[in-house]
Amino acid sequence: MSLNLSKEQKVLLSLFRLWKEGRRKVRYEDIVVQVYKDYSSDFHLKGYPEYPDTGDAVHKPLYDYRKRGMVSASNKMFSLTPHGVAEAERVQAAEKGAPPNKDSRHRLERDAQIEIERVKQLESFKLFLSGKQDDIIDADLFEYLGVSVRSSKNDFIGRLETMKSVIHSIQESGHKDPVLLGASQFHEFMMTRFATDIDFKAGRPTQPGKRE
Amino acid sequence: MELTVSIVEERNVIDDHLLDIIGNEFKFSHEKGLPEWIKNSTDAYIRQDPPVPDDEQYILFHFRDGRKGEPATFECIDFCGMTSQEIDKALKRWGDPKAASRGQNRRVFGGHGNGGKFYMRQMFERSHFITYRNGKFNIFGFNENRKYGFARGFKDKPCSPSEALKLAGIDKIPLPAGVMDRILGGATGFTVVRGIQPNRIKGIIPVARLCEKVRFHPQARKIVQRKPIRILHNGRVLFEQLEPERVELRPGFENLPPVPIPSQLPYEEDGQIEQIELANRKYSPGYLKLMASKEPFGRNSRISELNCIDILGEIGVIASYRIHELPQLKQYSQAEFIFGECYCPILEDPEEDCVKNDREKLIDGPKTRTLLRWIAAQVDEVGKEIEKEEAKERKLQNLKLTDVFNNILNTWKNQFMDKLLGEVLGGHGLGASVGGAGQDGVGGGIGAKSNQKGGRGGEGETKGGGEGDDPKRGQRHPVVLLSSLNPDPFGNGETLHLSARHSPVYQRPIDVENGVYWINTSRPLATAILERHGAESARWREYHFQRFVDIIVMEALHTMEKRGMELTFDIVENKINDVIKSVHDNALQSLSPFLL
Repeated sequence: MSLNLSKEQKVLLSLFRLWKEGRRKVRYEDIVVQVYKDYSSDFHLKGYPEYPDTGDAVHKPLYDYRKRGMVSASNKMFSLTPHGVAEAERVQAAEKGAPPNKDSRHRLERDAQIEIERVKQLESFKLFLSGKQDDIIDADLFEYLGVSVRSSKNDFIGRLETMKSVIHSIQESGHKDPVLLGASQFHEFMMTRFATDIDFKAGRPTQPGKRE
Repeated sequence: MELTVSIVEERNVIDDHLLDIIGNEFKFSHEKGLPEWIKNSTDAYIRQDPPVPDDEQYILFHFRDGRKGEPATFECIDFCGMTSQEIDKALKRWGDPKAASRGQNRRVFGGHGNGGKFYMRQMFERSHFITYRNGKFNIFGFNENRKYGFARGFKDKPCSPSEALKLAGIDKIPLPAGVMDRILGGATGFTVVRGIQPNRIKGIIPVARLCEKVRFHPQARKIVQRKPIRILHNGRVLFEQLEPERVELRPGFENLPPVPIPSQLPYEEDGQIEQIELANRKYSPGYLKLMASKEPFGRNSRISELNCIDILGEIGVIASYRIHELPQLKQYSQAEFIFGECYCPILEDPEEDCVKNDREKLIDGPKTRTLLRWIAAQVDEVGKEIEKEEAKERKLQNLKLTDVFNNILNTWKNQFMDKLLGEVLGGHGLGASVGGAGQDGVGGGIGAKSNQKGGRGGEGETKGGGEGDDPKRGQRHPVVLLSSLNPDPFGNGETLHLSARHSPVYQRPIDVENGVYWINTSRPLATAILERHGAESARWREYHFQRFVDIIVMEALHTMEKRGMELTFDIVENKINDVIKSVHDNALQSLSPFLL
């Protein structure tokens, strides 16, 4: 039984199809064309079914996915992140009518595994596990999230969401692996310790008294 | 059958020669002997009933130069006085630890009951106590043969106060206010300890030098801090009050807490380790109080005497060690700032008394050595802290010098960076609309695949154009600051301290928005170069310059990204090479006096 996809999911799938062709960075215009080819009834100009909609119908979903850490964007060039690829694969399976995986416990998605492998190599994570939390610095937050201090607000938020999702999937999976549990605690520590920096970078007003 | 022997006890018969043997061991000098007199006078006040307040326990030193037919004399005067009974019971007795307290249950400075008397006997041709109390005048002392006794006609001589003052020769000297009245009114007596013809001094007495030595002497300096000691020279006041040396403490070390002495410490000798008891039920644990001077005491300076640890007894100093005399000390250089006092009651345990007759050093033994090694370790700990502070101070000095060069580099960078970025990066834009970095300016743009240089963003007060959700505040040129030196433009005026883990060139989000870069001066390589070679070395300037190169390369990469240039590895590598080449060429022209 195939699932009724949202317009947003359709945009993601179109980008995924381009990604599978080996196109890691895709121009906005190419996405518009691909979406129109794949789902022309949903993405044509109002009153002109033979012309693609180049506006918000495609643009907004892409930037929403960016904020969720599934799409990265720079100068109107878009690419799927590993998290986005995983999500696209899930949506595609749903489109084809594949049943959702009932036993997801004790199994992490591939994108989460990639992130965990990356986190395990971080010096700050090793410091955390050895109890040297005081040695962890603000620059470690950016490294943990896989961004730089110059990353845009939306890329920052996207990566933040990605890591939240990874930690959530660890917690959902019920893993007892001490490294995974450590990663979960490390995430909470980083979110608390650098809450001020996170708020600043995410463009959120800093709560009174929160700034260190 | 075993012979049963029972000794009938007799009093010891001691030849006076024993006094010479012990006296010689004292190796007296005047600066060592005068504190003994001060202690005796202080003890005389302590024995008074009712007690005399500290600031009224007057002690006078009167030095008279030698003249033709008139030998030099030293006098120490207090305003208590002694009776002949006290002289018989206490003064006459050698080596009686109870002599100073006269059997009273009061803590006194006098230890073994020898010091003042030995000083009189060994260091003067003649010397005597001239003392008046309860209407009786006594003179007791040593003659040229170093034999002691009362002066003929001056044992319990009935005498009026004014006559006593005159006989003692102190009726015309400037006494402290009120003292003369108290003597004349019979409220108190006095004692003059007089030494005639001091060893090694014939004519003029170097009073100032002697006083300087005395006020630093471990046996005197605690008393000098609290009691009014007046110095007279040839009948005139030389010093109204002998002032203790005030040591200005090192900032940051003003309130070092006392360190408790462990009750037991291991003592190792010849591979054998035994536990040494430094406190028990009878003797409570002691403490070590260390202080650090602002300036090093030095080895031969005027105040070098203070660079020591005084070992305190129940009252007064029972030994004193110059810092460099402490065994196994490691932080020698920093130890020159350190002084302090150690109180360890068990040292005075009669069953294992560690206090020497002259109270200069403790009696050598496992307990003393254990304590001294522990003290040395504590001194080392403070020394390490001082060393860290010194490193910080050196770094600050180095950074101040670096700041000058940093300003030069900032100016140099500003002069050529726009041109460099334009030349190296210009003309390769892909046509995306790229805004400037200025606030409220008009964003520049570059045409698709044009050969024109990319336009620069607005620099005015209007919002910059370009992609992104938020307008960015911009600055024409990045500003490069030095961590731990330059004030943080977004802080409260203090500098930004970075850790060794921060990157060599660092930015916080707010720095990015405002075009500020920090050179992290706490990076291990930066610290090592500054420590070893200093801020004006070519090595440090090279390091400093390379951080500017890093920043310029970063700016170039960000500009490329902003302009929407395709950032493949090949393009990035080529552009980095182009930027570095241009930077180096420009530096050779503009910065060679600083770099080469």
